[in-house]
Amino acid sequence: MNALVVGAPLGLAQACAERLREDGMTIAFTTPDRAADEALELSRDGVSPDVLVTCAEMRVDGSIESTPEPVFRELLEVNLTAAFRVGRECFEAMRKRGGGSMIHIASDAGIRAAHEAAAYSVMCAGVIALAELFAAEGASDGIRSNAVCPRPGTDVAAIVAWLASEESAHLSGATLRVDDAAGAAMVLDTRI
Amino acid sequence: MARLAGIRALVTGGTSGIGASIAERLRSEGAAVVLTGRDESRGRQVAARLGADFVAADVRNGEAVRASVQDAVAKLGGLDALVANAGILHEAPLSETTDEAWDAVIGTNLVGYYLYAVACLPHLRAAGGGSITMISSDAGVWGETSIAAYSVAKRAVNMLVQTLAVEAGPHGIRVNAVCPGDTAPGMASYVGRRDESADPATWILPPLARVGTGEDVAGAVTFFASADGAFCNGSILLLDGGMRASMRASSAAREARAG
Repeated sequence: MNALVVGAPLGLAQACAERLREDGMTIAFTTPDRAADEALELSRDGVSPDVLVTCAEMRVDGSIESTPEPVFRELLEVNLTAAFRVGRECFEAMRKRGGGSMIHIASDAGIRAAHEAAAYSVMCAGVIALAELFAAEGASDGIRSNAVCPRPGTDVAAIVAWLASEESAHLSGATLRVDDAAGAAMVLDTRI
Repeated sequence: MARLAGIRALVTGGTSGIGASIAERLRSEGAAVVLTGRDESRGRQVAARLGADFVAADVRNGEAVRASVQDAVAKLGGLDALVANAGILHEAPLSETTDEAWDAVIGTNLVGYYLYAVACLPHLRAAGGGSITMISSDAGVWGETSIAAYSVAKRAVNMLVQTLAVEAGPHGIRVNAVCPGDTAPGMASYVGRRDESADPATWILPPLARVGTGEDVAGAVTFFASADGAFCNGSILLLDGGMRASMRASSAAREARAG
């Protein structure tokens, strides 16, 4: 099995790549700015990824108002637009080979607003929508797509490995919040 | 009724469709209104009809947005309400969405809303508080494959509303979203799935068995911008006749029509 993993070097995506390699997959690792080109090159070489992992790893702290336009645009490009472009290229390759699994790593900030990293939160919400739309569009072609939404610092390599495998066969269009229940309900306790 | 007497409002994309209906209602409720749009001659015509002012702006361009807000604030003598409405629709699933279409849809519907919100916040604070109402979509709550990039943009807009609600709320600025379903006249009227010359039995409609109107949206915007909505902040209001209430909501309307 082949996997294309997109993310920052030494980050969450790299940990996922190592886990998938341990599971016996052949890994191509690339950064968001090169991801769509890499997918096209793989396709030209006759390699069609069975698995795509994208990772929204550019987090910038601050409110919306304190996020300058160039930073907002960069967050958009790195976290959301790159995932769309590489997803679209892999979608075509997966359709031709009869299926595949896309795993879009966003963040818990994409489910519940994280106003302290507001623009990042906005992009992660977009990534979740992207994962759902790829799932809905790909369902008839055996293409699965899911969103994984960890809190910062949470290891999701095992969950990604499971989503990449056939053991999660009917799971598609799901959003997995991986946050030790931080977003499960509000805990209004002044002692915390 | 003059629920918006004394309110100075900026409506982006106010020269046609839903935006024009919003501008018209805000005027009839007593607000002073500036519209923005790309088409200068149409913009001036619509503004003159409504007794409003017009400022031309390309919402994808940060400099143009900031300049248009300065112009609008100068014309109004301040700002109490922003209605972010200027948007475009592109009909394609993700696999058929070109880079150009993605950039246009996300740039207009998401970046444009961000640019207007950031440019208006200092003026809203200077007025001692106010409101931002973003016209989102039911597709932002629950996406549609046929309008994929649009669905992604609107989901992100809903999160933009919630993050802004938290940072602007302490300044008395309330930020909310209205999520219309198919609305006519509006962008959805040219979506092929509802060919009005076709057999009405084939139309995809919500349980209320009609499409939305600009007036429906204008009513929700008026509520959010007025004292009636004084405790609404970070609210994502579905305004879709029940379309997103169930997986097969449209079949209820079809069965009702069939008797």
